[in-house]
Amino acid sequence: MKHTDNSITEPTKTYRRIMPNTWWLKKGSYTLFMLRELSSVFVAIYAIFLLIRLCALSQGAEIYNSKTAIFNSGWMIALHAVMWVFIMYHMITWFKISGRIFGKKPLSPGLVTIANYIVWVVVSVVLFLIITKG
Amino acid sequence: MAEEIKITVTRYNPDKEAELKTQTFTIPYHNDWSILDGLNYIKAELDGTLTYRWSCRMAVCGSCGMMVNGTPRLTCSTYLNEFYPGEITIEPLANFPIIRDLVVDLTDFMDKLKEVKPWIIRKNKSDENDTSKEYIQTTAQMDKYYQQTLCINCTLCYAACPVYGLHPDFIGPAVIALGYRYNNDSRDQGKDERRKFLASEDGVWKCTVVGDCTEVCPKHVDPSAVIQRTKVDNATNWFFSFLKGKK
Ligand code: FES
Repeated sequence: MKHTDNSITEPTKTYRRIMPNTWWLKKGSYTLFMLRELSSVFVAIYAIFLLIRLCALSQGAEIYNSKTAIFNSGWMIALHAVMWVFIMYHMITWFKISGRIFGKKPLSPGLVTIANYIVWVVVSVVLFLIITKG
Repeated sequence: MAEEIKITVTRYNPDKEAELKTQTFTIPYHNDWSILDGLNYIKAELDGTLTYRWSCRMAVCGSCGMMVNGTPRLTCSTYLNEFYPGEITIEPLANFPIIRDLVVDLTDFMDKLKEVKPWIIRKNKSDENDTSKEYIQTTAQMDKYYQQTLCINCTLCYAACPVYGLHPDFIGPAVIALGYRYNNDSRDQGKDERRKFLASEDGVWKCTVVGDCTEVCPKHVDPSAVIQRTKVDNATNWFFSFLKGKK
């Protein structure tokens, strides 16, 4: 039998698996993660729309109405409906994650997530009142 | 007829094959057998060349991690009865290079483990050798990091992390969790030293919060939350040093 020196280890020939581009379709949690990433695009689009409206608003009522007329078209309303779904998904997932990050003793993850929702509802109601009454 | 169950395993012999193969074995089904018991049966009775790692058989040593029907699991604490009468597919842990059959190369993980300096660091280096000093810790102080001391380095979190699969330079969940464990130990003073590694390009900021590391962790270390807390800590630190004009 050939004698080998055990203290010397031969470099091992290993096999590397390549992740296919469709890796995110392999598991429900990966797909949901990708949808959350995609939702950021809709958040960004909405922010751009909001900036366009604010710019138009600063130029007076008439210019605002003419420049933002496009937002009343059917396809824009449909796009906003899709954006709303993705933005809600974005919000729900991040509220849940923030619970896990900040929900350390004495707080609990559930408590932090609920606090996020409460702040969201309060801010929304205040904004609604300012807009409708103001 | 005695009940049986089919187990399909990945086979790879670097000296003979260039590609991975699979092989299916039919073994007796016992309600109280773990998957590891099944693999041990194959090795003892059907094919002695099947190669895999294991040691403690009680979810302590962390060496028996494999992909069980696509999910990283400890095979000593995953039971055949969870799948019976269905079939079971066992693959080596995902995202690591394969050495042989079900054994993966953990060199990369071991190197990163050292780099996070998983020991108590004192600013005054003589403290580290001074055994006369006592560092008293309250239960509340220990609570801050206890959960992360439970890590058994089984690397299931690495196999579950697509970020590590796509960018093998990413430090990865367990190593960051270990850094967090020492950073939050009241006896430790090495947070700044570890920050260079944890907040580096391949550190916490590479994590995109998929969250599967936490899902598969057999010890509930919750690496996903810990990584995000480390991000918050690094961002706060950067902000205050920016205010102080250090950056
Ligand atoms: S054999 Fe030790 S953890 Fe499974």
